[in-house]
Amino acid sequence: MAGVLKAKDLRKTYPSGAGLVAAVDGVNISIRPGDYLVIMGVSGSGKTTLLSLLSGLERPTSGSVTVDELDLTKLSERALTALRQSRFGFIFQDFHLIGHLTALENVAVPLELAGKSGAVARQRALELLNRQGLGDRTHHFPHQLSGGQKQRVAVCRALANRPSVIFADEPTGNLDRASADAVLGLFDELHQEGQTMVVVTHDPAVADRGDRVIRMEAGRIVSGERRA
Amino acid sequence: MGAFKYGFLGAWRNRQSTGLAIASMTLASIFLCFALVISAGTPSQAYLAERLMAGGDIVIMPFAMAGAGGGGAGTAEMAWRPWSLETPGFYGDLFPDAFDGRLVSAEPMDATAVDHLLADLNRAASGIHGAVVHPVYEMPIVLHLGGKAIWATIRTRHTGLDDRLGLKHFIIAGRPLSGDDDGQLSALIDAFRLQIDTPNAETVGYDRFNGEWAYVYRGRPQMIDEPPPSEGSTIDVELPRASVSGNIATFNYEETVPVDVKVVGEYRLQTGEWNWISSELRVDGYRGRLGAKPPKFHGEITVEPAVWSSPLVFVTQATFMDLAAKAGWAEPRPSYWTIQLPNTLASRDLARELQAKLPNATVAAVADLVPGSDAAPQPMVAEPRDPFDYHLGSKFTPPIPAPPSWLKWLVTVLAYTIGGLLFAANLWIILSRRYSEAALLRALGARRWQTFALLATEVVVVAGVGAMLGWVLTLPLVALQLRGLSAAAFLGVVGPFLGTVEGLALLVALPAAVVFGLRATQVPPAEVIRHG
Repeated sequence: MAGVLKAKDLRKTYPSGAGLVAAVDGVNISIRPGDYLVIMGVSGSGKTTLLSLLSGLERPTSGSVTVDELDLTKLSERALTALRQSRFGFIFQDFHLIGHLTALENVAVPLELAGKSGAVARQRALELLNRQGLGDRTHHFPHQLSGGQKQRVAVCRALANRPSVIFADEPTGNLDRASADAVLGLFDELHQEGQTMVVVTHDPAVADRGDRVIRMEAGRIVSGERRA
Repeated sequence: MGAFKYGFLGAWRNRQSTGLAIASMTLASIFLCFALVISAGTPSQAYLAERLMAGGDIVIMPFAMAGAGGGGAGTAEMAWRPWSLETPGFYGDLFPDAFDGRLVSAEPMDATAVDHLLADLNRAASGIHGAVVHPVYEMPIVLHLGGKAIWATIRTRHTGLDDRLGLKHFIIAGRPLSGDDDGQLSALIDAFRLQIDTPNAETVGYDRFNGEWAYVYRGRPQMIDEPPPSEGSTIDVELPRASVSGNIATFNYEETVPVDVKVVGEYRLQTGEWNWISSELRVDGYRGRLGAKPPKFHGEITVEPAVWSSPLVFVTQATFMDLAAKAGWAEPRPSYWTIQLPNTLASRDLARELQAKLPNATVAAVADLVPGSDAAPQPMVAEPRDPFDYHLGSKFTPPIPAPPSWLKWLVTVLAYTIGGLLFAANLWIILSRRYSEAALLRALGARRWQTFALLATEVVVVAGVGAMLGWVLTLPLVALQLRGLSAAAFLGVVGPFLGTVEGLALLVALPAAVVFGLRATQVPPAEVIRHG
C-alpha cells in the first residue's frame, strides 16, 4: 500500500508556565514510499512530537498531515484510530509489549483489533515471528525475553497489519549495542523490502542506517540530507 | 470479540494481582454480608417479613405451620407433649358455656422470651413457620363434653412479635357462631360471604388491646365492664384436676384444685401450689395471666387435638378495617379475630375462594410464597423439649437479637458505605494498573469502546467473583441460624443476600468501569510515547 506522507506548516504548541511552547514549529516534510527517514535531535528538540503528529497519535495545533491526500487533521477520532490501525505500525523505546500476553498474542493484538479471527491472527503472527527467528519464543511472555527479542517481537507487531509506514520512537534506546544492531539490521531488511520507515532517535548509529536524516532543534528542521 | 477475550485473559494471566483484588472484594463482601445479617436481625425474620408481606393482604397457611412459629413453647410442642397443667405454655379457654370465670392466658412479655421463640422457629424441622407473623395462635381442639362434641380454642399470645417483625396483621379466624350473637360478627363474616360451617361450639376469649379490655364471648366482641383485678387483690381459683395419658388430658371437674392467686402486678400473679402459675416465677419473660374459677361441671372432658391443618387467614389491619366497614361496624377497633375454617379446603383452594370473594384484597397461600412450606411435616417440632431450657441455654443458642431500629439504620448505612468504598478502592487499583495498557491499545488502533470493554470486563469479573465469594463464605453464618430449614427455604433466605452484595458490587463496579473506562478511552494515544 503506497502512501506519501506529507506535513505542511506543522505546528504543535503546549501551554508551559507563562506562555506557549512550540514543540514543533513549522515543519514541512514529505516522506515517500520506501523512505527510511531518521529524525535526529536532542531531548526536547520536538522530534518525538513530530513523530506523534505524523503518525496521528496527536493532532497538530495548526498545519496539516496528509497521507495520499487524506488529511489526518480533518479525520474523526474514530477514522484516525482506524487509519493508525490499518496503515501505521509502531515501535517504542520501551517495547510496550503487554506483559500478560505471550509473544504470539502480542503480535496478534493489532490483527484482532482489526477484526481478524483468532486463528487467522495467530497464523499471521506465527509467520512474522518465524521470519524473525523467534519461532521458539512464541509462547514466551515478555519478561522471559531479552531486550532485543522484545523489540523484535514489537517489530513483528508493528508489521502485523502490513502498514504503509512504520514509526519507531528511539527503538534502540533501551538496548545494548548488539541487540540494537540486530534490530537495526531488521530495519535494514524491511527497508530493502520497500517498507517506509520513520525513526526518531538521538543514536548516531541509527542515523547512519537511514537514507534520509533530518535534524531538529527547537521544533524546527535545521538540516536534512538524502543519501544515495 | 477480542476486547472481552483480552479482558478475561488479562484477569486470568495476572492471577496474582487479580486474585488479590478478588480477595479484597471478597473481604469487603463478607463484611457487607455480615453487616446485612446483623442489621436485618435474623435472616428468617427478614425473609418472612418480606415474603409474607409481599404475598398479599391475606396469607393462608396451615395451622400447624402457624403453631410451630409462635407457639414454639406452646402449641406446636403440645402436639407431642402430654398435656398437663404443668405444661408451660398451655393455657386456654377450655371452659364451655357455663363458665363464668375469667380466662387463663400467659404470654412472654419481653424480648428474651420472644428471642427464644424465634430461635425455636429458626431451627424447627421445616421450611418457614408463618405463624411468626402473628402473636396470636389458636389451636382448635374438640371438646367432648358428656358425649357432645364442641369446639373450643386454646389461645397463646406472644406480644412484641408484631413490633419486632414490623408486621401489622390480624388473624381473622372462623369462629363457630351460635346463640345471641348481636349480628356484628355475622356481618363481618358476611363481608367475606363465606359460609362458616362448624360444629356447634362455644368459645370465650379475653384480651386486652390498646389499654382496653375486650371480651369475646360467643364470637361476639364487646367491651367488658370490669377492669382487670387490681394489684394486691386475691382471686379464688379452683381448677380441674387433670390426668394425662399420652396426648390426651382428662380434666376432672369434680375434683378441683383450689389455688390462691394473688395479683402482684399487671399480668403478674403469684400462687402457692399451682405448678403452672408458679412456673412463671421460674422463667423470666413468662407471666401467667389471671387464673380461672372453674365451672361446676360434672363428668369428664376429654380434650384432643384436632384439625391441625385448619388454615389460618392472615389479614392486614387495613384490610380488616375495610372489611369491618363493609360489615357495617360503627367503630371497628383493632382486635384479634380468628376464623376457624373447617378443615375441608386446602390452603390454595381457600386462597382461591377468598380471593374471589375479596376482590379488594390480595390473597395468597403461604405454600405459594414460601417454597417447600406445604411439605412441612406436621407438627413441626420433631421432638419434645423443655421450653425452659431456652432460658438456661443448655440446648439452644438464641438467634442474633434484632437490634434497635436506629442501630439497624446506622449499621445498614455504614455497611453500604464502607462496602461500597472498599469495592471502589479495589476497582480503582485494577483500573489504574490498566491505564498505560489502554494508551498502547489506542495507539495500536483499538477503538474507544474496545478499550472500554477490556477494562470493564476485568472490573466486572473481579467485582462479581469477589462479591459472590464473600457471599459463599458468609453462608455458614446464616446456616447456623437457619439450620433445620429445607434447602429451598434456606436458599430463599440467603438468596437475597447474594443479590444485595452482587448488586452493590456491580452497582459500584459499573460506574467505576464507566468512569475509569471512559477516562482510559480518553487517554491520548500519544501518552504511550510520552510517558512510556
